[in-house]
Parts: sequence; C-alpha cells; structure tokens
Amino acid sequence: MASRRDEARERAMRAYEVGRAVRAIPLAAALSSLPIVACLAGTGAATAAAVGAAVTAIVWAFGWRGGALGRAIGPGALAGVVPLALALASRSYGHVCTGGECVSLCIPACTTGGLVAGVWVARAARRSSSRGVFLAGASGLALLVGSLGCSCVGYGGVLGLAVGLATTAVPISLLGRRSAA
Amino acid sequence: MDERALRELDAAMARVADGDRSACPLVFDRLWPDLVTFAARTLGPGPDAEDAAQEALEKLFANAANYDPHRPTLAWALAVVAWECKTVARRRGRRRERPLDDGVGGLSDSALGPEAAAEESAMLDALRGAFEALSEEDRSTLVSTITRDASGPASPALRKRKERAIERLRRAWRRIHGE
Repeated sequence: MASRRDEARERAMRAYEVGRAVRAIPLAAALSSLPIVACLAGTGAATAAAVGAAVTAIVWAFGWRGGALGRAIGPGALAGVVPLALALASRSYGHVCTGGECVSLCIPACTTGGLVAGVWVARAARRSSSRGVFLAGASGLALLVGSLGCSCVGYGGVLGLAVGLATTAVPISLLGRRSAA
Repeated sequence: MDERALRELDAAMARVADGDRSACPLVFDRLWPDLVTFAARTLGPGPDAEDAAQEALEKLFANAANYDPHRPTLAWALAVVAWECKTVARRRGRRRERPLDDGVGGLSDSALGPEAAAEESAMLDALRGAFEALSEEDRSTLVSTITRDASGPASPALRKRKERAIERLRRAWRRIHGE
C-alpha cells in the first residue's frame, strides 16, 4: 500500500511539473512577439533575436516556477515596454542638433524609461510577500524588454536603462520596507 | 475531514497553485485516503480503486495552477475521482461486452480458477439483471428465438422483433455497467 501510494505521489508531482511547464508556454509565446515589433521598428535582427530568445526563455521559466517570479512577469514586461517605446520613438525622431553638435535621444530616452520602469516595478513589489525575489525578477525582465529598443546606440542605451531602473527601483522599495516596518 | 482540515487543505492547494512545491506532499497525503475510499465504494476494493484515485490525483495536480480558491479542494477532487470511476466502470463493461461467439466455450469450462469463476458468476447475475429489465414481449421474443425449431426459417416480423429485443438487452446491460 505504501509503495503504491509513493508511486502515485511521484506521478502526481511529475504531472504537476508538466502542467506548470505547459501552462507557462502561451504567455512566453505571446511575449515573443516583442522582438518582432522591435525589429520592424529598426532594432537589428540579430540583437532582437538574441534578446527576444532570452525574454521568451525567462518568461517561460518564471511562469513555470511560479510564486514571486511568476507574479513578476506582468509588471516586469509592462515596465520594460516604457523604455522600449521611448527608445523606438527617439529612433524615429532622429537626432537633436544644437549649434554644431547633433545628439541622439536614445540614451536620454532609455534613462528616462528606466526611471519610470523602476518606479513601476518598485510599487508592484510592495504588494509581494517575497519582495526581493519579485524586484530582482521584474527588474531583470524590464531590463531585457527595454534592451530590445535601448540597443539603439550599443551598450550605452542599455546602461542608461539599467542606471535609471536602479536609481528608482532600489530606493523606492527600501522606502516602502521602512514605512511598512 | 473536519472543518479545520478542509480549510488547511484549501490553503495548501492555493499555495500549490501559486507554485509552492513544499505544499504538494501535504495536499497529496490529505486527499489520497479519501479518494481511494470513495473509489473503493464505487468500484469495489482492489487495484481499480487505487488506479482511479491515482489518475484523479494526476489530473488534479496537472491542473493545479488553474485552481479556483473559491472552490473547495475536496469537492473538486471527489468530482474528478467520480469521473475516473465512471471511466474505469466503462472500461470494465467493454471488457465484458464481447460478441457471443467469442469465448462462449470458456463459460462452461470447468477448469476456471476461483477468480474467473467468481467473475463468471457476477457476469451471469448481471446478464440476468439486464434480461429482467426487458419488457415481457422482449423476453418472450428472445426465449422463443432460442428455443424454437432452428430448422425452420424465422419470419421477417420475428427477426425484426428479435433485433429490437437484442438491442434493448444491450442498452440495459450498458446502463447497469455505468456507460
């Protein structure tokens, strides 16, 4: 009886993991459309493919894992769309020229987008019981999604995005923790 | 299970749905005895009841991420195992519903072991039950078909009545065996 029960438990656990893995596929597949959109808006195909593959894999892994990481998918992806949209818009706007100098708006757009994304992610993290895991997961996903657009001037845009994210996400979440205590 | 245990089960199931693997053994251990008991009452004790409970728990855990926290876990589990019991009963019925000339010789084989003899006896009882569920007319049609002089051709009307009676007997058999 015990061994039959143990066998049934093992099979139920396997079915659970397979069920979660399968359930995570549609959302990952849906977010795999972002690199296509970025590519159509001017992001290099190789960059879009590589970053897009990473986004898809991470969304699937977070969805399969569940918990705080699973809950971080929505806020992280939405937060990342902000710098992505700003970067793509700045690309279509082109350069701003003052006097003899012309400057791309990509880095400022990505930094601004990162600041906004950081606020969004930090506010969403307040509602989570595993705040640190949620913040790390959502920030990482926002960075990847934003990178689809912020690679407009190479690593500079992505760095601007990361700085913007960290500048707001970390202090706001620390402030939230202090006021909760 | 008392109220407190039911609430704990629902809370554990919600954690499982959220991805907390540590709650899975708790949910399984709480549900397994109840599902096996339910299946044994429906199908009789034995491996079929454990099969039905195992299948039900596999399906429950495969769909755990879709768990509705407003729905009691035990009720959900019992609904799934009831469905699995129906499937097992249907499978049993198909195993017994063989064509008449397939294995008929085996019914009178005196070398049957005790398990097979018990199954034969149960099957004959079930057949008697299905036969008694028929109308008077169907019963007499089938009896006259079996007992009439086989050298003479059956009239079209008798053949038609016989076909209908056999079809009704088949349906009565399936009703008894839970299709």
